[in-house]
Amino acid sequence: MIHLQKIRKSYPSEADSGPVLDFEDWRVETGGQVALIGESGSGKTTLLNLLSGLIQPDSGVVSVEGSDLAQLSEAQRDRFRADNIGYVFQSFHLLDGYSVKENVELGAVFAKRHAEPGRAEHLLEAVGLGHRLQHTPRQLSVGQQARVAFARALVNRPKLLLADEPTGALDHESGRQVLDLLLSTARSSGITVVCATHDMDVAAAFENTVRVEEMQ
Amino acid sequence: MVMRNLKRRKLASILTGLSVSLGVGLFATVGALREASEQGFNRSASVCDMLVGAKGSGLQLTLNALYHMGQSQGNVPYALYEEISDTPGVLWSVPLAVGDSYRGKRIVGVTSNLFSDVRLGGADSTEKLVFADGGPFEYLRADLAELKAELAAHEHEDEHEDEHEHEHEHENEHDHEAHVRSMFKAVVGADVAIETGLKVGSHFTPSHGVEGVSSRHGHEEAETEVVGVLAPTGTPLDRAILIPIGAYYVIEGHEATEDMVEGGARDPRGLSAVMLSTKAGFYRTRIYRSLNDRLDAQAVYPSQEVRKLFAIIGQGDVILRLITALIVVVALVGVMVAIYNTMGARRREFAILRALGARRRTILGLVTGESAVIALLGGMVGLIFAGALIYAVTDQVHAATGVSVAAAPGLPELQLLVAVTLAGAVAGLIPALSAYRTEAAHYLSFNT
Repeated sequence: MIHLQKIRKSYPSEADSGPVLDFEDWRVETGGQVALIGESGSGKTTLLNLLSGLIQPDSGVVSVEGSDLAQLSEAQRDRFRADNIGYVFQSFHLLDGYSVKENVELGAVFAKRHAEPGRAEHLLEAVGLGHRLQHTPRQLSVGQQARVAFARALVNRPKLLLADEPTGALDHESGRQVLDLLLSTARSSGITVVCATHDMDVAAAFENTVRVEEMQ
Repeated sequence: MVMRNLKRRKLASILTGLSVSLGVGLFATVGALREASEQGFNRSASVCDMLVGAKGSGLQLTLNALYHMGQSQGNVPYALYEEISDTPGVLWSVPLAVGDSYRGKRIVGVTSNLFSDVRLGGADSTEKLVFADGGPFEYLRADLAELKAELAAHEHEDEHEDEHEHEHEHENEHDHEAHVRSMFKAVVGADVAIETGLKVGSHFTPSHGVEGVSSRHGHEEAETEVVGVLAPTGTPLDRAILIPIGAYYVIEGHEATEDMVEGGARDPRGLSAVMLSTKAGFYRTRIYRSLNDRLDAQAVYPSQEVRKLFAIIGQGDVILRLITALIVVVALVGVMVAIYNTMGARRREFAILRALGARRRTILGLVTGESAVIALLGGMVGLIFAGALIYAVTDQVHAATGVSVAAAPGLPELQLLVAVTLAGAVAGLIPALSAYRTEAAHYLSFNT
């Protein structure tokens, strides 16, 4: 379960314009699927960063699956992220020097327990890329890259899947396929999903939609 | 992951690695060559404890007598050899007479106890001279004494020729020539055998003079037979032709002339030098001092003279090592700059790894690891390069001095490799700290 309490987050460079996030209480049940919507600069990504432990709030509690990330050291948050969180980025952020299979395996390299043998291949088979294991990301279409990023996010069997505009770089049809794959897999595995998007069609596919401005 | 990153930037990695290998190669070559040369020279110097020769430079005496280099400073009286051979504390002595050569290889007159008494690697060593073929000639101190007495008597007879009876003259001459001919035997060093083709049973005619000052005049009357070939010793003996010292005295041109003072430095009846082995401690010191108190001779410790030589060379060596060390440092700075220049393009990569759970120190280790691996691989290539260079130069050193220099890498090279690898890691720290400070959230292009 995700539970954020009395969160306040501001950036030093934007101190004059007040905190980016300032709210009392927000929670998502385990296995829940939430779309974060809002204008650019509304704090969607800041909220994702707080949930991943990449940044710390100025104050408040960031509880993810029972761990208060705000109380953990940076190294502990790194380990927590490696063990419990999967990411899908808007531009997918695959590493060029690595094969498709290696990119997926990177998702579990830093975790306490490495992915079981064959896990990466299995996921790539599941997303229809079993025949492209040794290809490099540049040899794939944008839609295929999205599916590799999705497989990487799942390889360490995360409890929380964070996605930032996962369909932003895809055409409507490809976006729809990736989103369906993401949500159905998360649902069947009991993974909590928080997805930042400005696309209302994408948001509509989620169980819950939260407008970040309204949380404040 | 480190190797993968280096492979991705193959050209830059190879070029920076090569610059390290160049520096390490030169540094290792200079160091190893000096070390090995010193060891090689010491091995050659340790064939005897002391050298006795004419007054002058101790280093020149050592180089001329043991390394067959440079010119002789003059002779010491034969009587001195007899005197010091009987001195208490002297274990063995070998007289040396130089002045002739064959195809650039020096001919050295010795007594045959050299073959049994000399220990390669010093008095404590058990490494004797070994024959690859044939064996030694026989010519001991007693034979030399006998010859000296004969020569003295012959000179005396010449002075009083008109008083002698002529009827026995031809008979005596015949016996004398037969005796002389039996002395023209030689043992050649391993290199001499290879370079001149001399082998057991070969005959050759010595030339008067040594390389650089040899005359065209050959001692036709002194045709010499090779009776033995020494196995390689790694010392200048490999480049020498050893003959009975008596043969040297009967070769034409080595007789005394009227203008030469008997026992003086130009007296060809004297000796170029005497090699001595003595009991250690009190005896050695006493012999050394008593010889140096004389006006007609000096004693030197060859190992000390070699140390002095390397102390002189050492000044230049330090500068050379500093320069080569500087090349290594510059190469490592090059590694640092090359990696640092990639930092801007790689921040996204570090941010992704951080998002996947990599700790900051993992990123730090990744970048320092890349730098260290470049330094390690460059260092390894450098040591191979150094090995080849040393091998090539070793041949030249051996050709010039007879000293064998081993090119095999040892502990110092291993220590150098470790040091260069650590220095490489340190050089990588600056870009690594830059990578360490990368704020993942900033580079993941989330649109707040």
